[in-house]
Amino acid sequence: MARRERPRILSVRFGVNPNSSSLGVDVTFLLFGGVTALAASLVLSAILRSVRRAPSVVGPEAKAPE
Amino acid sequence: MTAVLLLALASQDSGLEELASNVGAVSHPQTISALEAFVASHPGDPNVDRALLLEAQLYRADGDDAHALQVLNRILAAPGFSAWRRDAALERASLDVAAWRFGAALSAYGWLAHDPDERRRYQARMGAAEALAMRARLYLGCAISFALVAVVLWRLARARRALLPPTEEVTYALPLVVLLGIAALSQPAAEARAVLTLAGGGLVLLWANSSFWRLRRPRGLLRVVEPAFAAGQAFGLLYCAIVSNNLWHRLVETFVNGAEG
Repeated sequence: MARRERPRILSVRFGVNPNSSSLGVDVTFLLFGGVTALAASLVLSAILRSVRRAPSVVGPEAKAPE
Repeated sequence: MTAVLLLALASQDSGLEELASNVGAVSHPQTISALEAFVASHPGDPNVDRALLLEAQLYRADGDDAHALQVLNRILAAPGFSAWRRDAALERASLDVAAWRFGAALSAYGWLAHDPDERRRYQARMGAAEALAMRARLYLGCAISFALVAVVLWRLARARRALLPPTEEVTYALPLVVLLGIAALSQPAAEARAVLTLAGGGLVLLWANSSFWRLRRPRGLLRVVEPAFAAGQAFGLLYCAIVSNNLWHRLVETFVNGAEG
């Protein structure tokens, strides 16, 4: 008589919600699109603000600072 | 877990079999009322623990963790001890982890790690590992949050003369933040909070940093350090938004299995 194999637990899923699924496409886009835009804005801001700007001269008779 | 319980319930009689088999056919509140009626009419019945456990799981499936916890506490506070109470302890430990009560959860998992049943031992071991990982993520998230708040406050204080009018960066980003906020309203609560945290926090980061740089132009090595630090702040904010809203597992699943349609 063939020996019957004892059933094994193949997997148990843990987490806050064991039936949780992936985030929706729209939420993923909002989160990662948002953080990409934020990071790009911050990096660009830091780069642009680190560039020394030439002093602007206003008016026809104004003289540029020496 | 619910499916396992339903199968076990279906193998028993005394009125629970019919209730268990109708869970998918009638609404959860109706089943919960019927289970409460069963509990009230069967004092001392060993199936009472099973009925209450199913009731807690139905509450939890509906997102009502507060009621689920109350029902589980009823099971665990009753005198005597049954195998179903061990399952109730596992369920409550899982609820404790979800509510960031790691001490209570780890204590329960530690106790269940010596359970005679192999399945419960395995679940307790895995649950404890998950609780420890979640606690580490929470601590890291708290540390990043404090660091971000400190950086923002320090930069706002140093640039207080240049805060108003808001910088061009803030003006240009404002429509995007409003759009993100509107888009978040149609999302489930946790996801909406995460998106709003990112949008609002991002605007504050942009305002504090750009005002600071307007007054103190990055020079020398800071020309490289400041952009990298700024990008780090953005991704740190994303981490905090995800961890504080319990979206870590769903995010991992999104990377593994792809986003839902």
